[in-house]
Amino acid sequence: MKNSVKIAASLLALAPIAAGCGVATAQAAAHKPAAHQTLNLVFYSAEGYDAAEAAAFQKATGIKVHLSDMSTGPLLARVAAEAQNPQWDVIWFDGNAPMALMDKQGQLLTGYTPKSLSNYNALGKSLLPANHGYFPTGVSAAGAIAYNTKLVKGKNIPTTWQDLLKPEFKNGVGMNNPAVSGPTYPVVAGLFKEMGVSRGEKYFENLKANGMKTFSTNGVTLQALATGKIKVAIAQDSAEYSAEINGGAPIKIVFPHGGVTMLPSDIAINKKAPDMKAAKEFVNFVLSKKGQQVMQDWKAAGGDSYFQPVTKEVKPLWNRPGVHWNRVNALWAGQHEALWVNWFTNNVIR
Amino acid sequence: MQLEIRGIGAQYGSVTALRDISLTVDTGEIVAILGPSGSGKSTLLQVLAGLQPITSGEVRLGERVLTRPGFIVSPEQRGIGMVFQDFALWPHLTVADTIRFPLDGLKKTHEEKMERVRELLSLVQLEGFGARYPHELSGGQRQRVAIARALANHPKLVLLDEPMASLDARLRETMRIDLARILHEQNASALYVTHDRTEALVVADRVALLHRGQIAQSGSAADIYERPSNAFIAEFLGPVNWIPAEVTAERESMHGETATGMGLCLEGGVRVPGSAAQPVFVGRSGVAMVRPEDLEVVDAAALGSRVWHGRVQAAHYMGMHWQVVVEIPDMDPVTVYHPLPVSVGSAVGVRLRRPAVWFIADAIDSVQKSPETSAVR
Amino acid sequence: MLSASDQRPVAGEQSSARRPSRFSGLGFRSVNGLAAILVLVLIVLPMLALLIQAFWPNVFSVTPNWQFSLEGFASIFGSPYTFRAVFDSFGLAIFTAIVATIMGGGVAFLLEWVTIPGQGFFNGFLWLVLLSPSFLIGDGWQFLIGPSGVFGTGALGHLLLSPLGVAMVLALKLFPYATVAISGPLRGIGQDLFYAARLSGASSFRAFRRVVLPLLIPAAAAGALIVLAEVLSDYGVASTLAQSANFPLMTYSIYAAMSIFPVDFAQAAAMSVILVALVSISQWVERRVVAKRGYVTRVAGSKSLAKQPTRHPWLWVILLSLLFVVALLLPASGIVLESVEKSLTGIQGGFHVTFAYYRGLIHANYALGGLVRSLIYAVAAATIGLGAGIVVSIAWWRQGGWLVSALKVLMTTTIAIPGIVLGAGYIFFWNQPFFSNVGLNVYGTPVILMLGYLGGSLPYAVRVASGSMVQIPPNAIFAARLSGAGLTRIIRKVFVPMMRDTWFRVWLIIFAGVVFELPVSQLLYPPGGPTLAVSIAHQTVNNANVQIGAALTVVSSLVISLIVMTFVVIQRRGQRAPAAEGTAGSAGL
Repeated sequence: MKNSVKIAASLLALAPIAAGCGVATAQAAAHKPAAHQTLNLVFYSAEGYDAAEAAAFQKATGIKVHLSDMSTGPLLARVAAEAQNPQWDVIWFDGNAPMALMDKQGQLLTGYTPKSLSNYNALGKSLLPANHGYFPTGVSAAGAIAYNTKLVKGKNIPTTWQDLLKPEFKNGVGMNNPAVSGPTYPVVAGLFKEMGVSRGEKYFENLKANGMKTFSTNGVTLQALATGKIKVAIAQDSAEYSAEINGGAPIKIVFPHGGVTMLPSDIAINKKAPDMKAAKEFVNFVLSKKGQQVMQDWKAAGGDSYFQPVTKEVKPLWNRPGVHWNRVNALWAGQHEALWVNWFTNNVIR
Repeated sequence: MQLEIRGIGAQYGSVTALRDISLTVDTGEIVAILGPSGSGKSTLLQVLAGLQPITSGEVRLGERVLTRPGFIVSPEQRGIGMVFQDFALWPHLTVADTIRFPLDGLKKTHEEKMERVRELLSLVQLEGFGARYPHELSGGQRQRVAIARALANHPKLVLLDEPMASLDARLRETMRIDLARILHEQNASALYVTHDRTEALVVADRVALLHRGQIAQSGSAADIYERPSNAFIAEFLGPVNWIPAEVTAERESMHGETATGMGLCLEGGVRVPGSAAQPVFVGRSGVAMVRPEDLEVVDAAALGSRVWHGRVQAAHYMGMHWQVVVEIPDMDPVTVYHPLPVSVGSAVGVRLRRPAVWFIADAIDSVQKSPETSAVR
Repeated sequence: MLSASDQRPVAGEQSSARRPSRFSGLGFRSVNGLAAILVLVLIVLPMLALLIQAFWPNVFSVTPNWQFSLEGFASIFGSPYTFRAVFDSFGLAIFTAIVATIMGGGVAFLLEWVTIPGQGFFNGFLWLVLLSPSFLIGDGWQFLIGPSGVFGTGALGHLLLSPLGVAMVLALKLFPYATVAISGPLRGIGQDLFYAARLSGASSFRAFRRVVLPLLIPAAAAGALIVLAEVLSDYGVASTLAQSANFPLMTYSIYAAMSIFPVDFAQAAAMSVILVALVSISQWVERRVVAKRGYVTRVAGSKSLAKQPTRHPWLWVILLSLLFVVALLLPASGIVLESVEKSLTGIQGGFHVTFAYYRGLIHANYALGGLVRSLIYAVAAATIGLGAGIVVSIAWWRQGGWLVSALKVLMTTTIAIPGIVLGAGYIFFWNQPFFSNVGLNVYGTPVILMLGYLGGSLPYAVRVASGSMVQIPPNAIFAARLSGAGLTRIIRKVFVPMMRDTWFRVWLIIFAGVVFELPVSQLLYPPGGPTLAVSIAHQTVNNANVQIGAALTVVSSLVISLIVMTFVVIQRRGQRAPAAEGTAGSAGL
């Protein structure tokens, strides 16, 4: 049948058309052994600075980078769906719990020591797992308290987590939904760790009793804070800072005395990376001075640039005043994620 | 080119749709397939069009076999035209484009095709309508477009499927004549399927009456109207008075006697429905077929061997004549077409105009006016 | 009237007899084959690859096994939240379907039954609403009166952030589906039917209520079913408004199940199975309702009714205008405001207009490139999807059989499967090592994204295309065959021109659906080639550049509206003759 042939032909002909228009060369072709000289990096990321980093790396090394930027959720779903036949070389996102789990499951390359590893400062070294299964690239606070300066003043400014339960914050607290917002589960896990699980649960139940609202992501929560729908918010501190500095929002950040959960951004190499050489070079580049500087280009990257560096190569764009870090065991957090997110969904979200 | 249908049968599961049908249509001849709904007309048409398989026999067009068991030439390769009951005009094509459609497959120049379109438009008297769309045409015009399309590429055979069904009565009368003229002018063989007897009688050169999947009788229009081979055919072709009679004597011709003792000269034969004629013999009983126009109302005092006496039960004005129902003692009422009004209740005579009547030795039962219920589906 | 379908030949004693299909000799066999491959490869296999995990959760694990388990279902019904989500979703879908069908029917009445000024204009607007992505509407409302909106969360805000508000927003977005479904048959109602009622002493109103309304039931049911499936699969509003309203919905739960680590595919698959079941049940109910009696809206040969005059045309115009303002202009203006607002504080802190975000678009990564790519994808997907839809509908045209019916049901139910699930199914299926072993590496290339888009739009295209094809009189095709036309000429000269308008609508809907598509794109887009929605999401979520995202949305919407309007104008120009009337019909479009 002539027509059916035509349709089939146009179906096949389509791929190059789409590819020709700015879409990077098909990855399938990229991994053919024939293309040995040109390295190709397939890179899944949920970081604000990933596009800039990819561009800088490609410029510096000539290695073609195929970036898939998405939210942490779809990224993890994509990685999981590929489990039997992974296509990615490098993944990069906030939160070390999934990393620790994947490391434990043997999905990540271990034992690699990039040249730039020596750039790590004390913080960096302390976050690096012994088997080098994944590499911290920066840290932020999973949840710091931000308040609306027009609505919260003087002695009302909260200084501890318990302050959020006060009557003046009735219906005035907001945070992200840990089931959807990647960086929010560590807030829950961190407070559970600091307070103990049952007291932690009680704390969130009390917050809810005090009328706490939940939103889907940092952006929405902070907009609610900026417009005064809520008085205080628990959100990732780099996003809060960006909203204050770049967004012109009337907000200020407080690091409560109880401490804030450290949220490392981690990068990792696929154990079965189709292009291992490119992957290794990329990780090395990210930890280099140049790579670190690209991460701090806030004009390109937005809020994620206000991270606390883990290398000696760059100074932080923002010194977190009076921050007290709480560290959570990544594996412990990862193993409880499904359980506690489910608890949160059913008891706090409702 | 001759269409030859040779003993075809079509059986679908346990249903026999067609049974041993044989029929030929000569070049330029119009044959009507007349039959009630469910008689197998549609199936026959589908077989001829190439939509349905057959289980026995074969269909030929000239030398070419079109259909035989296990073999079907598909519709687009048959080279036949068809006029549909609903005309099946394409709403998106103009009259000219519609008529040109069958020509598109032919190796002809644009000019030749347009010439043929012009020719057809004038044939169906639609000059100047070429640019119109179907929704801008009247029913009769649509039908003529459908006819022109069917004839466009000089088909060897034209099938017409109840082509008058969607026209109003007046249009039908003129179109019948027009259609016969057009088909004859194109010298096309045509098979005209209809359930309307008048249509069949007027348009066709020959009529084949289809009943329960087989051809009950075929012949000229006059043939089957005047000499039907069974009571069903007789009734299907027009109103009939059935006069029970018995064969009483055989001289040069048959003679019979009705229940009232009237002597009749009988034509025809002793027939069992569906079988060939058998010789008439004395003592056989049956019915004499008397059509209303074979009778006339006469004066009550009139005498004669072919006169019954009775009383007018009803009289209806029919335009061309009055339909008069007369009650006759010892007989069923008879229907008479009479040119003048008669008053109800008056005593009249009813005279048989013709000396001889058509006699059917059917069982009386089968003569009872029976709507076709045992239709083949 | 010839109808071959009544009489199916049964192989009798002549076992050698070739059983001639209706289309013997026309090459329809190859069309059937192609249709089967399309449906299988684009929909059935990828779907199965995911749905199977509701029962065998570990078939695609790193260490696969065939351990049967219902843990996915257990986790849904074991957790009050997801349990509630199932009921909320279904309740919301039914409620919204009813409201949207009533609204849509009302609009169809005003556009097709009576004469009021500006019907063409409103018709265009209807299509804009139909084509606009639901996340845009949800975001727009959220920005205006949501919890973080620029206007206070007054009574309106509270209403918006309630299940009722969610239903209203969805109904306002989806009512055009009902309007389009009802318009065709309403336009086609034969005047005889209406006048017969009037002459029987019925007032115009009573004739409408007693004769016209009942005849529209199948169309309304078909429209309602589409709305229902759309609500069940909607993610745009579920993730914005419903989430803020603490109104758990299934699509959002599925998203959540796939967002935590380890990813709970079993639950997502189980949830999808439930969604499919819900749509199947609804479809069954619809069939039962429709099958009860005949719904021929026009006696053969009778003319369709002229539009009726109305006493207060301007009242209706005002009402319609208000509807469209609320359905589209208000939420759209929310996005526009967002894109030119300098700070996050919104209007309360004084409105500071800036176009910096539009300038920012030029330099930003993940911006206009995505728009260009998505436009190409959308044009290609709409064209191929329509073609595939036509192939499948031709193959299924007036064909019965349990297999075709089963596939039809399956296709409709896939409309309700959320994109993220569909996307994962595509990865599971196309990323099988088997395919790379035979050198078929489509995953990670634009091809798989195209396949995903096609899989998402094919059910819709087939439903509409086959629905409209039923209305082609069989004799119109048969007449063409007897005129010597083969399959290609029939398609070119008869099918295409008669179906042109319907197909054009299908094309537009696929185009608009793909150009803003997010969930499938996120999972399937080739690394390095972000689509429009991926770019918007990158700006608004990862990058927290909400305003750049809004600016990108505004620019894209303008470009796409321009393209759509150009096409519509071209199509109107090319319209020489009326195509088959009421082709959209009860088909669901």
